[in-house]
Amino acid sequence: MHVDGVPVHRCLYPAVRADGRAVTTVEGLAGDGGLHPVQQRFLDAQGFQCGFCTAGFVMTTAALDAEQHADLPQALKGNLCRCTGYRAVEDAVRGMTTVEPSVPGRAVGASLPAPAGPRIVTGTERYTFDIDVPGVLHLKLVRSPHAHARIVAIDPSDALAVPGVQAVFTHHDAPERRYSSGRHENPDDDPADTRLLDDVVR
Amino acid sequence: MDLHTVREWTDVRDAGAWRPGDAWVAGGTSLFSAPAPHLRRLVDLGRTGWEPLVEHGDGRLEIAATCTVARIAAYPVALFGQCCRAFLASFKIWNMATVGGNLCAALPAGPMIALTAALDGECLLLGTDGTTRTLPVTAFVVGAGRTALREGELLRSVTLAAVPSRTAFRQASLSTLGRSAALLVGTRDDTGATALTVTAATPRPLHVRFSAPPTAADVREALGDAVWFDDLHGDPAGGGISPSGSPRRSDRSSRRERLRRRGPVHELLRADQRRGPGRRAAPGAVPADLPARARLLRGQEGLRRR
Repeated sequence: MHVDGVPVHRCLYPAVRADGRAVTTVEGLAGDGGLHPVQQRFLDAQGFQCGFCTAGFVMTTAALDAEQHADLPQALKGNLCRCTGYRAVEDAVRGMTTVEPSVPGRAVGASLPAPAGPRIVTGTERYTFDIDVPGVLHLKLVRSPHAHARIVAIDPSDALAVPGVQAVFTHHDAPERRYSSGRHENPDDDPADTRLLDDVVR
Repeated sequence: MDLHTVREWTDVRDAGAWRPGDAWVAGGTSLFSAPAPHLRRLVDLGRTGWEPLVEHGDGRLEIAATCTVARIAAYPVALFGQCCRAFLASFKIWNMATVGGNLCAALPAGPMIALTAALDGECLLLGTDGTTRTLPVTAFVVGAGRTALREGELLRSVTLAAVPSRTAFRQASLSTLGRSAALLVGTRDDTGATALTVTAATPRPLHVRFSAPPTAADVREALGDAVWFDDLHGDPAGGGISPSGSPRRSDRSSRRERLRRRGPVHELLRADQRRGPGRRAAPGAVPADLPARARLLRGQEGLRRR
């Protein structure tokens, strides 16, 4: 986000410091409800896949000066795309257009933009944490402190004593049966090697 | 990230006495990047109005603890910008992170430590009883994630000596634009007196002086049995530096401060030796015969007049 025009990381910016300052997020970047030129570029080059990182890329790109534009690895380091890479992002930052118009009857094989694109570049697409589920519980997976071990005993009493903890699930609560988390046409492609909660940690 | 155990946020001017569970907040970029369940109250230095940079008449520069890295990056001395670009962090972090925060985090790769140690920085510390003391940066940072700060003591500023006529900067990193594995700053005055500051490869800044520019052998001898920091990317078992760059709380100094003779600094020294005495790489050039790791060096412009 931009605070008084200066780009900062919103996850590191204490909200109390925003008092009395102008805060701009990707939702308000364009101002008039249209698209900021950088948002348009990210649409034109489809500079995203899932779009989770797009708000950060758009807001950072919108704050770059000419010198920073000349050294994108330095200017955009810290903006991480986990889906695909930076080719499409760079195309967007540099203003390339890679999408093609959708012409009825000729859409197959054409480079059509993602339908969610306008929502992604304006920060209005809903992701998991944007969805309000009343009464939702959060699950904390406890990872093994050992590289490989068998659980011989497990005592959940300390965890159950933590305020707000509703339940603790261990391998005692899940079937011993193994299954596969992937399924293909041939079921033998994916061996049944997974237990939901295992007594072997690794 | 949210710090769920914090109950109170107060301006330093209203904070009153220091309490257990207090922490100073300057930029907050380190504080808000890792859990800190021992904290109860954050004492904000953000509205102190401390002048970020005060140039004294004798050439000394006083940097407020709250001066942002962005201000340092914009300072018209090449070494300042070079040290800022040695951060793993993005330029957006520079807009909030402070010089004082980087010193107090005391990470081996903290480039503000390198900058201020190289320029003979003196830290001004304010005690809870109203007394003040000064410490050289090289005595302020005492280990990986450890400083000489006493409980409740506040780093107010660091004052640098006049910038020598020539400075040099070398960084080795395991990845392009990555965190420093070794960061060396050289300074040389008009008499030829030379100082070399080693950080990142050592748990605390090392500062060695020479009456004339040293050879690689001179430097190796001066560094002697320096303790090398070989935990650049953190020990997943719990020691060292976490991936977020924050020091783990458990102190496994015996593991992470092992004596290592073949650290990144020695790669740099070997590289200089191969280049040979009297030969200096052309600006921007990376000699092709250097080991791969040494070729990751940045700042190849050599000793540059500022």
